[in-house]
Amino acid sequence: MSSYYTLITALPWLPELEQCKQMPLSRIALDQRLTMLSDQDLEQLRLVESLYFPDSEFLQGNTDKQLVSVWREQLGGVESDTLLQRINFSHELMTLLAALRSRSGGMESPDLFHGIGRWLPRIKQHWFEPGFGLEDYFPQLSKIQRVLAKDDPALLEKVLNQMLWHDLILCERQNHFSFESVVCFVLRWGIAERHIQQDGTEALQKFNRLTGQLLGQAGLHQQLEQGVK
Amino acid sequence: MALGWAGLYGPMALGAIGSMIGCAQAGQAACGALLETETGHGRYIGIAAMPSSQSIYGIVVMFALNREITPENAPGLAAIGLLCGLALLFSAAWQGKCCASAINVSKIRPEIFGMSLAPAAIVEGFAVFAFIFALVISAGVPV
Repeated sequence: MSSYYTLITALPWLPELEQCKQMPLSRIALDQRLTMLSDQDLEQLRLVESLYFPDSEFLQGNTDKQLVSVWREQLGGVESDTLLQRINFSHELMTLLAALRSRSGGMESPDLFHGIGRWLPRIKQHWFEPGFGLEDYFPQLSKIQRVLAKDDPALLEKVLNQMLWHDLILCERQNHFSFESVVCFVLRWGIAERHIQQDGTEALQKFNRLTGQLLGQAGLHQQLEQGVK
Repeated sequence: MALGWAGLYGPMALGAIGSMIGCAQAGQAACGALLETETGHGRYIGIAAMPSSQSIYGIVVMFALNREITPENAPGLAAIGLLCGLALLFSAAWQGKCCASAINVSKIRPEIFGMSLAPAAIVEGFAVFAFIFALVISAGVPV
């Protein structure tokens, strides 16, 4: 893998995820800078991105078994072990979440569950234990369980994004000016974009809810009608 | 005899190779920073030139070692020249990495520009050690 001194310094600084309110660089500008990558590295980047941020249509249009099969095949194409670890961590989080949801949804036999990653055998082996016997291996599991119990998908998404973000930051700090560092930045950019979009959607929902409440008040409704007349 | 000549020209050649690597790395980083920043371009170019000093040290050591090469002084010249050259090569190459990092972080936070140069300055210090003591030792090589 090559070194990318010019590209790394040409990328803007991304603040902490919670502080990301606006993207410092558009996708078009990012793609322009990424043309500095060699063709092979660009291809690898696209593969890693597709595995890290699976398309929602692809997720909805396939069963878990099919998804796992496709991912296992695609993972063989990732050349960098460092990047493979990042993707595996993301997939393991998804598997863990899917296992928690499946179990709470009434799945009684772990044999029916399909997932990917190091923790899968342990999850199946300890299916009926609260934390699948993974508490020592993955201490953040209890946090995920707490958030899951609150039934707040937006909060859960934020917590998972934070975990992925920290994993990528650590990797980026260990790989200066390398291809891995570029990929970690691009993946963080994707998480930040998702986070900002989520914030926007949440704000819109809140606005609609407040508007609905206000319009629901008879006095205000009448005033608005009078105003329109 | 051949080793003597290698020792004579070694500091210059190896120092220059190190400077090429270091300046290229730091220079590439500077180019990226130019794209991302509006001001302070001069300082990035200045940092990118830092690893060139090893070439100058190499030239000075070469002149200090310059004498008629004989079978008696060839091993001494080879030892001092080649080891000093290697020290200059590695210091320049790694200083280039330090400079690239300094450019990258000072682009994000310009106020830490001075502090970010400390690692590059420390590496430069080791190059100066190799240079000075090569000059001192060279006095003991028979003319």
